Amino acid sequence: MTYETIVATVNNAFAEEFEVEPEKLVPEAHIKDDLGLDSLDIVDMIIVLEQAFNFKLTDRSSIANITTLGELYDFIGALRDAHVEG
Amino acid sequence: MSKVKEKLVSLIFFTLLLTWSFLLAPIGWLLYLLHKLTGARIIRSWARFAGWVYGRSSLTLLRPFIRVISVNPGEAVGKTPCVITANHQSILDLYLLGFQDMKQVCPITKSWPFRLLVPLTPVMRTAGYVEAEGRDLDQITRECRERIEERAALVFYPEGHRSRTGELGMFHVGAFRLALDENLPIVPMVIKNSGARIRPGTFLIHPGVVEIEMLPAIMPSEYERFRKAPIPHRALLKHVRAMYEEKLSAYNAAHAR
Repeated sequence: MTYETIVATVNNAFAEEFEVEPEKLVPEAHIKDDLGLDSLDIVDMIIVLEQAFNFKLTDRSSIANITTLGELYDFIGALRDAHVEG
Repeated sequence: MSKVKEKLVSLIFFTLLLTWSFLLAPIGWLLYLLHKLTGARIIRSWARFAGWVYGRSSLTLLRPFIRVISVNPGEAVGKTPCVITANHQSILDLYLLGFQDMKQVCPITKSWPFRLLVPLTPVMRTAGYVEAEGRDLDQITRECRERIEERAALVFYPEGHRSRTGELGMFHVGAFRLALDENLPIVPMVIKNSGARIRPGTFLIHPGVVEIEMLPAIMPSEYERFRKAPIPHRALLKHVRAMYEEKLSAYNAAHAR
């Protein structure tokens, strides 16, 4: 899975599930302030992304520190690498 | 309408509204004191009734400026405890709750109504309106459950804030999770055109009509199909949001002509 695929999958999840306008989906977008997700939405976002990528976002405490979309892409990219190596 | 006339109309509107609020406020203060002294639960329901009367009477008084049309206003009656969802366009939306017939309404709101509507803060606190902004989720949920035990209708604005564009915004899941967890009916209340009367960020009045429509309740007996979805409350949210989109699109199309 390429980084571009990760970006497209995450963006698609935000647009489809959370009605976020596609033009707002840029790496520097703040997930709470710019995209408007609250803490309950973020719980759902994790489930949606786990389904989309078909692997567990096991380290959920690290997700709590993610603030921007770019950080989320990188987090999933790192998990993908660990997944492949594992 | 010229700018001068618009400002004059707005000045009259808010002078009347403030005067009415201050005239009724002592009732709220009395209920607040009674509740503090006795702790009696019945006083909460009196305060909720007072809030409903205040909303209805305020906009009735202001009918020369804003006329409210109410479609199917009795839908939530007899279905409490329940969740009423409402789209959010304007400061008027809290008042519009007085134009549906369920009198025991309890909004879950941001902090601004408590800060801005100062004369009414005691009655809102007594009625058990839930301040949701910047507070612990467990505490908010606990307060909602207390209101459910009191058989109130919890009113959620799933967009979380007033729409700046008039378009329906993203829905948050709180109302839908609660409805599923507590097996409560959902009554969608569609507010049409309130944003055109008072736009967010201004206090200028644009006289005209506002319509509210209570859609048929979604009863817990219908929830089984949502519970089969990967994220049940999101499936319910999407279902309800689609109802809003349909109604608002139809209204906008009819009024664009």
